[in-house]
Amino acid sequence: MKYYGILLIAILVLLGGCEVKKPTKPKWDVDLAVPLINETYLVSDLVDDVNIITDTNDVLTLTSTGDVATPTFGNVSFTPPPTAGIDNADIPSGVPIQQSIPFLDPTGEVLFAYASIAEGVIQTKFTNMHPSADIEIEFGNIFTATNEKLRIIAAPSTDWVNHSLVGCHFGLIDSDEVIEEMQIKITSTSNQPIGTEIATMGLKMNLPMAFDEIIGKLYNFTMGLQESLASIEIEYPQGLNQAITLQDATITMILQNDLEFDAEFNGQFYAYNEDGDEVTVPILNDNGQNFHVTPGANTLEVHNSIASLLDIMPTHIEIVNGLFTIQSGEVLGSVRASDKIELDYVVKAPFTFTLHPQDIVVKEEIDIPISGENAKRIEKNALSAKLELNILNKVPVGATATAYFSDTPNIDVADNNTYKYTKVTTIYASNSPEGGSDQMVELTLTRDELMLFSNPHVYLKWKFSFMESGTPVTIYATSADYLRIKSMLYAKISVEY
Amino acid sequence: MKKHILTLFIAVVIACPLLAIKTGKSIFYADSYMLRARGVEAAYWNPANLIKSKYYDLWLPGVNMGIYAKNNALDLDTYNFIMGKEYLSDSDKQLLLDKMDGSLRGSLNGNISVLGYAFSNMSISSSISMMGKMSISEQYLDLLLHGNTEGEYLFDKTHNDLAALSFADITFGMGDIKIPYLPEVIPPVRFGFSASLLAGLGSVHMEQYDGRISSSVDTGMSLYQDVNLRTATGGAGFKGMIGMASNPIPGLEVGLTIDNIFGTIAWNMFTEDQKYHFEANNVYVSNLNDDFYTQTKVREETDSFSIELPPEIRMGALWTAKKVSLSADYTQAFKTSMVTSSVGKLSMGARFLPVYFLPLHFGISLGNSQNPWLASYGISLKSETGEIGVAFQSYDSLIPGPTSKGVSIGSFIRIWY
Repeated sequence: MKYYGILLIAILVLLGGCEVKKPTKPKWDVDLAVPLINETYLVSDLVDDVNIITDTNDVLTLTSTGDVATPTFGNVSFTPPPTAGIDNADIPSGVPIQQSIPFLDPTGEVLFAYASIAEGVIQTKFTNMHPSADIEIEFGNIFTATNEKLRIIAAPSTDWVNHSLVGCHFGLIDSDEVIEEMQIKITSTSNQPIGTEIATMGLKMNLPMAFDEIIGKLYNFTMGLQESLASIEIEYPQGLNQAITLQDATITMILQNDLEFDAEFNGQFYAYNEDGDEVTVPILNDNGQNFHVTPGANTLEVHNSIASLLDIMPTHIEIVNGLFTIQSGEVLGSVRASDKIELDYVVKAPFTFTLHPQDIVVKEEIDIPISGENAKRIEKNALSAKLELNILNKVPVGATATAYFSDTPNIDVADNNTYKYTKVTTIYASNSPEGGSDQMVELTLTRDELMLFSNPHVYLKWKFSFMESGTPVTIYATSADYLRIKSMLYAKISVEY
Repeated sequence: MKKHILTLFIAVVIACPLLAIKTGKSIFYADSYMLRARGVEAAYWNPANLIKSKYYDLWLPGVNMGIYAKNNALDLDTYNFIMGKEYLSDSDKQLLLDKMDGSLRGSLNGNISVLGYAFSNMSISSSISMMGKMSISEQYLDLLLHGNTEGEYLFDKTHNDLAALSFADITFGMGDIKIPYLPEVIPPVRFGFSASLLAGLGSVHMEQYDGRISSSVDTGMSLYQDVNLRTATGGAGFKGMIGMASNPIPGLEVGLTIDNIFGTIAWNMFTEDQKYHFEANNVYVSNLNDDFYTQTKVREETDSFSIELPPEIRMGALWTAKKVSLSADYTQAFKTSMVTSSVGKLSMGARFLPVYFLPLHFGISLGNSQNPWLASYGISLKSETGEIGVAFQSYDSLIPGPTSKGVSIGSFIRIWY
């Protein structure tokens, strides 16, 4: 039996040694490698075909379009010579009278072969008219709307009788002869012997008139631009205008001249920037002369004359004193009251610029809300983090980016009391000695720095300090121009159940 | 998902690796039991030893049973070590991982007698066996403890598997058949056979397991998981066993069995595939959105299928003296399958009789690449008409204790009259 005693004792000892500890919750650290981003930002992705385009050389180009127009030409005023008329002419019975009245513009500004009359009257007065007299005046150069010669039937009166010419027109539409005289033919009949004076006639054609369409020649006529519409506002993101100076720009004006007249365009660009600097330059072609506009479509390219505008990186450009001066040549022109000169303009500024070592602080502060649950997780589990960035910059622009972190808003980058810490990384320009190839950047966050993210909000502000380019750089938008960022987040977290 | 977890849980709870239909008393000798089994049990271990006897042997419901639980890595010491730590250092993590050997493999099985009766050289009996195994890749634990690095983690069925099987058997055995016409130089050889009709109760096995986790700055994070769990309820099968035994010299007995002859269970009721697919490709935190992954869970009926029980050979020897008996068994299947292992296993058993009515039982089974070694201890109370006993096993530890990687408990009651 002693064997069994020994066996029993052995079992009891063994079982007594089987201590089973109360379950606890051990903690341990885990390293995580999480792919954060792998993006290639093509410069060409900026092209929206509206505000940013590429030119024929694939250069990224800032563009803006707009349109402006002159007011409508309006009616052409015409004041006949004071002598245009007939005073107290005796009308013999049965004897036709033909007479030419001088009708040239005494100022010489308006000559026409055809003119549609919008405003105008002819005045007649027939006195001493025999009761049996029938008198008719036929105007050889004035036609009704149905292209019949204007006729006025005489009626006895002691005062001047107005005959409206609205709807009538001088000359015929296909005429190419300037009207210098008004042809009048007076015919009469009565029961009186032929040659008997049957009335005394007065005719006035010297009152001012207005034409809503003419074919002829115009001298010293001008049309001003609606200046308030002819302006371009330029908004530079984040004060970029302080960091770059554009080297080149063109304004292409597509001009539609409704008038069948040539014209000369005079005008100036007036520009100012946010510092109050002002520049006014004449709008001239590359030969330094005013632009000449022909009837129909015209393309005017302003290049050299606006180069000086770019020196001040204007925020506002407008055309001032814009004026079209009608120029008549040997050939007759035409104009209607509704005619105007319309101008579609396209501003193109290629991204060729000089970079200045200017700090640009992004105005907008990024508010990163942290949920209570995540805040607790970070506080409890986050130990450290490292961001490994692989950057390949194929753009000839380099910058140092500084991120300012705070748990309170209104970060002032100049006041280190308004933020907790900063993280700095430098991206080299592709044309710099350090640039053009893969660039490794590490950003680490210690446990203390991570604890910032246990607050309900984290505020982030960016500051970019561009590297001075020295010489102008050009941004192209081919498939070889991009910024590629790959990043892995390496985090050490504490696991606790 | 809850259903999958429940399925896994049930599978683990009822699971054990099947080498043969075990009986409760085999635990007493670390499975070195082929030549020790008598009466009803002989039909399961070596039917040649269904020896004609004037006694009747009776198996009662539920009293012959064995429960086995083991794993390849964890023990109570490790548990206490981990639970005693507030913080796991790198060396603590490495200690855990070093224990894994590629995967954490666990099994749990059980068998229980329903009824058995042996008379003359025949027996008829029934028992229920439940068995299964599960393995999880060490890489999962590595990810859990260390996190991930840039690179690729691949998972397949080699280290991530699940199988569970339960069935009932009705076994008829006949033995003690003398093989005739043997040369005189050869001692008499007994022959026996048993045939088991198997009623499949339930089956779960992993048909497919493919997983991948990769993380790199160039391709992002990719997750892929494809699992096909095939389940069935209700099946029928058969397996046969032949055995031979001989006593070449007094006190020594040798034997040989071939089990699982024509062994198969055909599952043809309620068979279905539970397919789970998850995929997320090239994920970066910067482009996370609601639909960054695809996930499908499909249950679809499938054709009936069969689980093969590959033949398994067992050789053994038993030396018996007045107060002691020693045995050794060697077991190896012809093919590794869900239920068998082609890696051989050697087990040895001993019985001491310090007192006639109170036998002491010991056993040891040498480990192999798939199973830890184990030691068995048992005690029984014997009389003229019966025997009752209880035993336990310890895996990977000589004595059951904090360093054991598993335990088994077995009990039996034999009544003969």
